[in-house]
Amino acid sequence: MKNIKIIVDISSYLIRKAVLSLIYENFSATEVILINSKEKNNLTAITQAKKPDIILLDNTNIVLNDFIFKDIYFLCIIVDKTATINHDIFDETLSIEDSQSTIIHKLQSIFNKINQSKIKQSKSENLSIREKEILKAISQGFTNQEIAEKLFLSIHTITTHRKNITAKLGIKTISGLTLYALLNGLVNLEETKLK
Amino acid sequence: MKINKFMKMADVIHLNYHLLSVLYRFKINLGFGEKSVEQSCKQNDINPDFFLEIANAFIDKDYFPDDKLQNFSLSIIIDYLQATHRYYTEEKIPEIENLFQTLINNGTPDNLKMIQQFFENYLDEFHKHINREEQTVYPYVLQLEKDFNRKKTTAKFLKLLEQYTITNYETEHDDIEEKLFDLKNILIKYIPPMDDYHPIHQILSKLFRLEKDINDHSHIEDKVLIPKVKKVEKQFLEQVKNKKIALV
Repeated sequence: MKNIKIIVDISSYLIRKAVLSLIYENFSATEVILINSKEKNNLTAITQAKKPDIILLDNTNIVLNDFIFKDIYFLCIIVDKTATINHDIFDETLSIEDSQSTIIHKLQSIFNKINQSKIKQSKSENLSIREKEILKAISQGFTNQEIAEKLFLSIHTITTHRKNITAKLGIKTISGLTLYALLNGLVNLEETKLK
Repeated sequence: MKINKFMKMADVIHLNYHLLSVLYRFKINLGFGEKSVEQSCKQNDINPDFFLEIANAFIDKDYFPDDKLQNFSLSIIIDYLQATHRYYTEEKIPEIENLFQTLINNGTPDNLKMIQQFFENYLDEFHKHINREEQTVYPYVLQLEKDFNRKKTTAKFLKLLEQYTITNYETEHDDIEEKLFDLKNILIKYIPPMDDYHPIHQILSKLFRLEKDINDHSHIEDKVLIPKVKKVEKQFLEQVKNKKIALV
C-alpha cells in the first residue's frame, strides 16, 4: 500500500521526471502525482481531491492561495536563482545545485516526520471493546442502521467506528471484515453469511 | 524502454518476462528464432500495432497512449479482453484454487478453510462480473460496431442503445478489486500460525500477480474500450438522426 502521497508541481518536464525517479529510487511506499499548474492543472483542486502529505513546487510555480492547506508539508525546489522566495512559507527548500546526499537527507527528514505522525495516529492497532462489538455485528450481517438501534448509538457514530476499524485492520469489504472476525474468534461460522 | 516492431521478439521477452502472459493471450507461440515483433505478430494473424500498444502499456504504467489505441476496431479490443478473461478463468484462478486445495488436503486448521471459502466467494463474484461483460456488455459493443459499419440497424437495437448505453456499465463497476486486496492483507497480517508457510507464499505471490493483471485489464476497459464506445454511440445516434444509418 502507498503510505505517503506527494504532489510534484514543476514546470520543467526534465526536472519533474528527475524528481520522480529520485523519489522512487530512494523512498518506497510513495505515490507521486506529477502536475504542472502553469500549463493546465489546478494545484488547489488536485490537492483537495488527492489529499497529499507533501507538495513540492518549483519556485516559478508558486501561487499564494495554495498555502491554505493544513497538515501538508510544503517544499520548494529552487530552479530559478534570480527569483526571490519567502522561505518562511516552506517547510524545506531544495536547490537544483544541492548534492545527492543533501537532497536525500532533506527529503528523508520530512518523510520521517510524516511517518512518525502517521504511527501516532494509528497507535492502538488493537480494536477497542466497542469496535469489536460493532465488528461482530457487521459479521453477523447487520446493517449500520440495525447496529445503531441495537447499541443505542447514532448512525453517524457507527460509521465513524467502521471507518476506524477499516483503518486499523486494513480491511475494507464486509466479507473481509467477517473473515477477520472469524479468524479471531469474535463470531463463529454459523452466525455469519460466509458459510 | 519502449518496444517497437523492429525489435526481435526474443529480445522483447528478455527485456520483460511478464510479457509472456501477454503473448499467451494473443496466442503467439514461442520459438521466435530471429523474427521481429512485426513478423511474429503477422505470422500469428495479430495486428502488430495493437500488440505493441498493449505490450507497451503492460510494461510501463506511465505509457498509455490512449489515443493511439483508439484507432483500433472495437472487436479487436473485445477479442483481447475476452482472451484475458479466459486466461484468468482457465489458467490463473485454477492454479490458486489448487494451491488452496492442497493446503486443505494436508490437514490444516479450520481457519484456513474459512480463508478458502472467502476466496471461493470472491471467485463467485469475479465470475459474475466476467459473465455480465461477456453476455451483456461485449455483445452490445460488437453489435454497435457491426451496425455502425454496415449503416443499418434494427429498431430493437436502437431501443437498447437508447436505454442501455455504456455509461451504465461504467457506473456498475464493483468492489471485486477491494476484496482481492482484503484477502492479501488477511494472509499477510492475520494468517493463523501454521507448520509450513510455503503454500501461503505461493498463493500470495500468485494473488499479487493476478491483482496487477486485473488492474491492467480494467485500465484497458476504462481508458480504451469505454471512451471509444461512447464516441461510436454518439456518432451512431447522429447518423440515425441524419438517416445515414437505415432502420431495417
